[in-house]
Amino acid sequence: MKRKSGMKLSIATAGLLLLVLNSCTKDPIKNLSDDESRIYITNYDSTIQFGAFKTFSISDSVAVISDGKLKEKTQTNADAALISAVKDNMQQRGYQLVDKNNNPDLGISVNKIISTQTGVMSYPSYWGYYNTFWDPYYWGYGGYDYYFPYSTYAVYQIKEGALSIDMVDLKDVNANKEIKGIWNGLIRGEAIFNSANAANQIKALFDQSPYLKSVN
Amino acid sequence: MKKIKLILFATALCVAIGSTASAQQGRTMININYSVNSPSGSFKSDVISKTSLRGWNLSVLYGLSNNFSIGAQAGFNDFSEKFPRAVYNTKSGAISAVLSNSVQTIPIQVKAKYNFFPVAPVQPYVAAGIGGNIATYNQFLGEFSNSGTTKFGFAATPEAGIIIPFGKNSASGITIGAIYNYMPYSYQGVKNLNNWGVFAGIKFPLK
Repeated sequence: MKRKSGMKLSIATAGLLLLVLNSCTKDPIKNLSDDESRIYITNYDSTIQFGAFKTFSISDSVAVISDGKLKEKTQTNADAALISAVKDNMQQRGYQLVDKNNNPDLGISVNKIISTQTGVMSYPSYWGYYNTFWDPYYWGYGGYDYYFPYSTYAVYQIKEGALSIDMVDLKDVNANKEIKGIWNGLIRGEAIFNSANAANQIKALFDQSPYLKSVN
Repeated sequence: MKKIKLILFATALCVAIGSTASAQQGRTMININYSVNSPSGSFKSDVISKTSLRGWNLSVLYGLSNNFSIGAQAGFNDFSEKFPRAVYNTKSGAISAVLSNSVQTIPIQVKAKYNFFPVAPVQPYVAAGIGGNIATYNQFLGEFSNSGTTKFGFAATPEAGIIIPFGKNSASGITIGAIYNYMPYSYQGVKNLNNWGVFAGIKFPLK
C-alpha cells in the first residue's frame, strides 16, 4: 500500500515537473521591437510591364475601412505623410505625378484597414468590396469594375490593423471595361499608423519591388 | 597506446577505490539533469542554429542488477532563433520580415542503462532511450504566426556519462554526461530535430 502511494506520488511529481519544464519555453516574439514586429507584403501582376507606364496619380485622402466597410476618408498628418512617401518613391522610380483629371497611367490609393468586430478580414474579400472603397468614378471611369488577378494567392487575414497601398492600371481600362489592380503593398505590425514611420514603411515596399520603374 | 593506458588506469582506480559504495540492485533511482543542447544536421542548417540553454531531462530507473537498470525518461528542450529582416519571395510577390523559428521537444521514452563500475567513486555508464517525441514547431513573420504544429514522432537517445556518488555508501550522487537526440520530423521542409547536448544533475533513490 505504501509502495503504491509512493509510486502515485512520483508519477504526480514527474507530471508536475514536465509542466514546469514546458513553462520554460521562451516566447519568440515577446521582445521584438516595433520595427521588427512589422511585415511588408507585396503582390504584383507578373504579366505587366511596369516600365511602360509614365504617369501616376494618388488619392488625396486615406480610406479607413472598418470591418470590411468604408468608414470615412481622412487627411490627417499621418495620412499626408503616407501619401507623400508614396509620391516620393514613385517619382524616384521615374514616374511623373499628374492630377487625376489628366489621364494618369496609374492610380494609387492608400487604405487603412481596421478590424474590430469579426476579428478577421481576408484579403480576397477586401478586393471584392473595392468598388465601395474607391468608386471607379473617382478615376473618371464610372460604371467600371476593379479586377485583381493575384487575389487567389494573397490569402492573408487581417486581425487588427493594416495599411494597404493599391495600384491600378488606368492606361488600359477601355479594352475590357475593367480596372486591373497590378500592384499591392500591405503593411502590418506595431505602430504602422504612426506618421514618423511612414517614409520607412513605404520605402520598404518599394525596396522589395524593383520592377516598379518607369522608362520615362 | 597512450589512450589505452589511460583507460586501464582509470578503470583500475574506479574498481580499487569504490568497493564499499552502495549498490543499486532492487532500488528505484531518480535522475534530474539540466542540459544544454545544440541542433545538428539539417535542423541546424535549415531551422535553428543557436544552442539552447533551456533544457532538462528526468529519468526513473529500477536496478535489475548492480550494473543494469531499466525505466523511463522524459525531457524538454526549447530551441529558438530570430533571423534579421530579409525579403522572401512568394508566388505573387515578396514578404519582408524578421523571421523567428521556435521548436520545443518533449521526448518520452523507455530507457536502459549500464553502469560499468557501480561501486566505484567515479562510475562511467552508457544508456539509451527509445520512444516518442512531442515536438512543437512555430514560425513567425514579424509578430505574426506564419505556420505551426505539434506532432508526435519517434525519438532515440544514446547517452554516456559518469556518476559521482556523494559518499562511499551513498546511493545519491552527481551525474555528468552527453546525449544525442535522434528525432525524425516532417513538416514544411523540416526533416528532423536532431540535437546533441551535455548535462549535469543529481540522482537519488526514490526511498
